[in-house]
Amino acid sequence: MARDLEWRKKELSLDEVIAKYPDVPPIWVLKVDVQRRGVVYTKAAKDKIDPEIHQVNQGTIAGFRTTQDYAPESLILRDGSYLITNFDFDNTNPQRDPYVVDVVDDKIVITDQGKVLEEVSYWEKPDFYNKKASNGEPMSKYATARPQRIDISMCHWCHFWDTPGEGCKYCPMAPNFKKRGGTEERYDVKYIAETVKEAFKQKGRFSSIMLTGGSILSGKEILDDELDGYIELLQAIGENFKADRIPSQLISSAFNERQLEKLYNETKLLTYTTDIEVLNKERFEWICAGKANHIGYEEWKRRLYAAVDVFGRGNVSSGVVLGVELAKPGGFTDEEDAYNHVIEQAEEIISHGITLAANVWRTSPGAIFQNQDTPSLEYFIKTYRQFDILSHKYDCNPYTDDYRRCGAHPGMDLLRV
Amino acid sequence: MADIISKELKDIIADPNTLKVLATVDKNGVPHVVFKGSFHVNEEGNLVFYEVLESAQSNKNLVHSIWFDKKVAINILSADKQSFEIVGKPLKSITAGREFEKTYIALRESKGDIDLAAIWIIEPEQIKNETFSVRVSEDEEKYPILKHLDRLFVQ
Repeated sequence: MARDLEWRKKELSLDEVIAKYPDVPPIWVLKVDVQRRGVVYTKAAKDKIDPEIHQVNQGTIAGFRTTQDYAPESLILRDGSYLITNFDFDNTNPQRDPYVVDVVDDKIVITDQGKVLEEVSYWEKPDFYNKKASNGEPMSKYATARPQRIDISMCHWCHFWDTPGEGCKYCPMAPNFKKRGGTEERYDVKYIAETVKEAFKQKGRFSSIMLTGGSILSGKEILDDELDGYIELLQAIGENFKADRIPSQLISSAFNERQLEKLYNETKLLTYTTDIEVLNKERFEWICAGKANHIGYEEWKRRLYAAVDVFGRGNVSSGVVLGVELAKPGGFTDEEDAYNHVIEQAEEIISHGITLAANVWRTSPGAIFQNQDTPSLEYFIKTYRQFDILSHKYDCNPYTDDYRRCGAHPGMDLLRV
Repeated sequence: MADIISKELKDIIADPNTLKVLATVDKNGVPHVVFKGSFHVNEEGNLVFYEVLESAQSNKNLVHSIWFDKKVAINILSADKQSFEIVGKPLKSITAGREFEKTYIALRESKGDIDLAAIWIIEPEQIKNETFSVRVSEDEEKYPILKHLDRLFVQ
């Protein structure tokens, strides 16, 4: 798709959106837009990386970024929130100009068209990144880190992609697995457990542990093998703690009541997330065909509500790829129409005490939707703002998805005040 | 901004017997005042304190302040009743990294089983001596009209 050089004239600018929505913080509007447009780093900004201190993406551990070979993993803003930038975007022919991370007056800053917008810092690397598991492999193979969270991916392949047309159309995970020649779907729990044990020796570094991975559909009942895999991992992690429950999050496929109760009863897991991804039944069925065919939109929601009965109100959330409902040709054709439908569904889900952790949809190379156009900045701000109003109304805040434990869902930042 | 806190005031702030009070407002303008014993001045001349509770109202209000460029106030009361008001703006909230971890470890060594939510850095913009005797003298000199006549009446 040819790049539209006139894109700035066709939508409200960052400054105009900030002026139109004065009740949301300008630094947060910028954060959303950086996620939407992406970032590139100048040589001066890359020269500020100290590989002994900072976490550097080398294209091997983060399945969502493969094209930038030497860049900071992500950024931290002045308000202490994390700005996730470790994702691929088409930086040779982007839909919109990416922001530029540069150095001005010896400070690392985000800029746009030469204007300095915010000072940022780089994520620091955890100690375990310098260690090796007992098999000699670097521990960074078995777990990755955000500034306050350790992340484990149980399955690096998503089995919805086993059937052509069933993979979620915005997701690059499975295509990237193939692209990098991945063959090892799952790592030995022994080495993951060694890594986690080593990671927790670093005091003050981790306030949460998150497990996720691609869907595994097999088992006596659909998803049973996925469930067993997570239980095995969580039990190995749980051995390190005396507490009955530990600050932890599982982002998995949508388990049924029996599976949820087993998960809760046999592990020390505190919070549960299953991502409905698209807040509209028809668009869900088009975009997430595998989820729709094997579970279904209404059943996915029902299982979310059932999870609240098991894990408790405030301990269940659902991820959303906000904006993807406007993809072509099956999506909404009008942002206002999309907003109205999304908010209606959002209120239904949030009213059950489930927080919607919404990512900014950006088109990822490798994904089926890689050449799509994403919505305007105003669409994201307006929708996040309404999600926040609903979250306050129904008193939802699962801290596992917030500004410092996760950082990937900008809308959650608004719950800080 | 230049380091505007005098050596004398830095020493007062560093004294563990000094009371240090932080005043903030929430998003609806509701004020909140709380003692923060960890206040000190860093090498850049900024005020620093440790927020141990993520859910603290002061933490929420400081986030609101840094988001919307709003000011906060700190009052310092020394053991000998010297009082200073410092008005400033939150510059940064440190929630991770080596500085955070170092502080977390030090806090737990000195205070026991507590956590750390954030290190807040506040840039002082204005300092006012609020010591009672100093304020009375200032008032007498600047506002001779603001007093009861019986105080001046010669019997």
